[in-house]
Amino acid sequence: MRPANRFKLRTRLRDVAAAAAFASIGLSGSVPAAIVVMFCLSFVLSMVGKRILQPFFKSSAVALLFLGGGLFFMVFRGGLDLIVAACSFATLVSCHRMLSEQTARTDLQVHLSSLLMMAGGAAIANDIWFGVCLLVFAATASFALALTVIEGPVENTEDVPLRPVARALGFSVTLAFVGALVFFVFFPRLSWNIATRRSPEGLGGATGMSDRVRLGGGGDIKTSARVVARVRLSPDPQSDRLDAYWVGRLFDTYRDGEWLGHGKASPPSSRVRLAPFSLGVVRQFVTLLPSYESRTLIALEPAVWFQNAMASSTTTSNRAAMVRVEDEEVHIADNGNAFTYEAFSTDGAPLPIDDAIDLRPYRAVPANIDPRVAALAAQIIGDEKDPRKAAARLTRHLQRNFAYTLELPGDVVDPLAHFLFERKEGHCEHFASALTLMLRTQGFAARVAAGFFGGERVADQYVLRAGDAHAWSQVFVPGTGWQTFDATPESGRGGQSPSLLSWVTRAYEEVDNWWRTRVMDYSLIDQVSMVRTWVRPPRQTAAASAGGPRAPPARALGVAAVLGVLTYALFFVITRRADKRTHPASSFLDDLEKRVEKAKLAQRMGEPLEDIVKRLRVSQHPLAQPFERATLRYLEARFGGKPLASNERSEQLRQLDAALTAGTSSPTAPNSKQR
Amino acid sequence: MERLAAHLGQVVLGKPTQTRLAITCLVGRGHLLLEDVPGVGKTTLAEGLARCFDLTFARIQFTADLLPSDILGAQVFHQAQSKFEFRAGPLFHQVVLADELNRAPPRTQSALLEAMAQNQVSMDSVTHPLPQPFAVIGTQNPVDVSGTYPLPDSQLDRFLFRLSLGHLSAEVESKLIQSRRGEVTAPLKPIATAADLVALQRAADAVRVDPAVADYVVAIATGTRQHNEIERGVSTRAVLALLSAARAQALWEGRDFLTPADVRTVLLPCWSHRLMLKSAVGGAFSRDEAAHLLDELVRKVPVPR
Repeated sequence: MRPANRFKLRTRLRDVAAAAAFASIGLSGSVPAAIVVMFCLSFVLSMVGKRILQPFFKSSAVALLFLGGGLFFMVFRGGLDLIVAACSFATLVSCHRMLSEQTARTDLQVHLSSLLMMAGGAAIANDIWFGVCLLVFAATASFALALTVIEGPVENTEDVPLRPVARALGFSVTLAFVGALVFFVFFPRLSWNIATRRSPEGLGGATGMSDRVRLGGGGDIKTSARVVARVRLSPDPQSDRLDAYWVGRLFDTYRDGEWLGHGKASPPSSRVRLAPFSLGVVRQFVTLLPSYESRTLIALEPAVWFQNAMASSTTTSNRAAMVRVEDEEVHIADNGNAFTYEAFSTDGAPLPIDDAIDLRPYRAVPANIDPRVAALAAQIIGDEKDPRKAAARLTRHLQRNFAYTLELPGDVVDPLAHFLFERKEGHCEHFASALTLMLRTQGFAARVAAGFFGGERVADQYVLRAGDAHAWSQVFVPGTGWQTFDATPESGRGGQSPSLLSWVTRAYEEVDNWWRTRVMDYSLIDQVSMVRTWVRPPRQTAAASAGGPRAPPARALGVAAVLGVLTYALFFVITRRADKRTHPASSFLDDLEKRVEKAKLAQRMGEPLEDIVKRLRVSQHPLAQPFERATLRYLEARFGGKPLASNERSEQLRQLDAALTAGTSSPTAPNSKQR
Repeated sequence: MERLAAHLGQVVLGKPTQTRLAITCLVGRGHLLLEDVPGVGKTTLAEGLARCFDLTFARIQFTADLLPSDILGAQVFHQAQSKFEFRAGPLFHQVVLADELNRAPPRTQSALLEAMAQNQVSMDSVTHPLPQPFAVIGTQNPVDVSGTYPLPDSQLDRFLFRLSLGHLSAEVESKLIQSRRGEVTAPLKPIATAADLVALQRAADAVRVDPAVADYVVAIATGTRQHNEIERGVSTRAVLALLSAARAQALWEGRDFLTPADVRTVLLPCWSHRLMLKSAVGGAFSRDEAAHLLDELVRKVPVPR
């Protein structure tokens, strides 16, 4: 490989490694946009070979220090997470180094800062993307480093024969991968509680389900496919899509375009009973992922019982208490990244409720409500007195005459009236609010419920995505209880996606699921059970395979082998591209050299064929003649302007092979006659 | 050429490589610098070369008081015709052996410059062409350096090859002392004519140079110019010289095209005297050093494939 090619390849690999490291933190979405822009810019500049900071080395380093100071000042002010700030600073350092003078030392500095980014990424993001980034980073950085290693013994101008180097590098990188995997599988899991991040107080807005339902505001609602919860159901309904309502919060009061709850909190306890229940319940094992960003429990509608809540940080998992807020929500009392709990729901039937409950808040209509709302409601409902029929009429009307959109209306004075009489389109919260308030104007008791609609099967679980967040209405039916009515047109319920996209997200889910169970949750217990299967083979193996240790060694080694082969192949492809040849006769030379190698004729690595032949002739080696003939033919073809015919080439090689087999089988063979 | 080499080998015993290179030099229209201790056959080689080709030969012994006119010739006043007449000096021969070249003062040495470069002699505004083919074979003694004027770089640059013969091996030497009587080169009969030599030179000129080989040569030259231990790399004239020598070398194999190996074969004799090293050691040691550096360099420069 030519030195220039070597440097270029090394720099490219280095940049890709840095990009992978940055992606690991960038994809978490918590890195400031300015940093993202800066990195992308310097990545592109570095890829095209513009090292713009080279002349301003000192001043740019000082600027970098100031930027770092600014970042940490923001941490001090509370505007930025410490880990994010550290990652951002590492990013800046790596940008600076990438755009500076290109030496082996600069490369190492870029790698170091990339490594810091990777470490930060481990704290910020723990989903499958981090795994992918980690793999890319590890592969490219190892190759880049390996190329740096040969800089030492080899001079800058020296031409390094590529194939032996690539072979050695590929082998050692594969070895490193296998070693890392073995390390991962066998090294005891440590519980360093350094990187735990606090889950934010209250409820986040990322899911679309928030602690208040606001009708105003600008912008769009994002339908993200990000998974926020996983649920295993018992008994398992076995269907691919579980179009069910998962209720999280209930709201009773509408004021100034917002729905609020006014429940009374009960003291934390390890179990919460919402209603008496008997048989015919669905048991749900729910995991709320960090992306849920909330502590409100969700369960299939109607939920009756919660128990066994656990709050997990990145490293530990503890029992957590639950707080019931009367007629509003149940939430976890402790902090954590993710939560698991069991919930029980009755099989769809409304809970029997005594009519003695106070329904006044559910009939309250704000004083400043637009009079047209009541008029419209009266016009649609007519003199219907049955709440179910009234709600059904309103639902039909809303679904027929109003369109669904994810675009928010912007700040309007009365978002409800704006939705009903001017815009005539809105999202689920508009529909739910309209239905609820219109029923209330006519004296019916109703409330708004927020949660999720959907449930898509992945492996043996159902997942809820951020885009599945939904809001609907519950109408009080005397003698029966709260009954669900959804005024939102069907196209707007949950995050429905095109089939291709759903296939992609499903595949992603599978991989993510695998990553979570086999890698993220791989723990000391799994290690012990795995070792136990090896130590006590006969009985234990059967038991363990039935119980399923989460990382079967055969599979892990298989993955390592595949990864190794892939990286090796990748490097081969890259190096082949970097060292492409032009002359057609060169491949003939390759064939000749292969035979020289087989006959062990070269005295040193990379000795030119012509020199070898000349040496053979002087020492009257038995193979001198056939090789001389073939070499002369190659030289003619390469330098003499007499191209090789394809059959001539194979004929030459055949003769040579014949001579080779004759030469090696005869007793006076090669090395004895050499000088 | 093989015939010539064998023929010449009769008098220059045990030095096949140097003999062949000397012929290569002649075919490549170059001048030869022989650098070695006295008595190893420098003169024999030079005279043998001249005789083989049936070329006219003159030997000039360079001394400290040798003047340019002594070698170039002089305007002599012819009394009968009462005008000046040019009387050619010993340089007007086809092969000139400039023995102990470094003993002559610089102005005499540089009197050779034009002759070697342009194959002509200019005196008193008259230019006299030299007989063709023309070659200077210079010798110098690297050990006995007292009272010598080291050859300037420009002069060295004009020698195509620098060869050193070295001592004979024991068996060759013993064979030599048994057989040798009297005049050494006398029995050597010409086996080729000057016209043959010119034809060979033409053939060498016709040797095809592939762009890849040209790039290879340039890469080596660039290598000498960028090398840490070399003060000054080779000149473009040196690159041209290398190519013409390599073309002549290609004829040995009966090829009409140039290969990288040809370049490598002639590289050391052609360039080792043209490099100026950073380490200030002079003389033969510096040649060894340069040869070593070139050898190292050649291994590093990728061979065109």
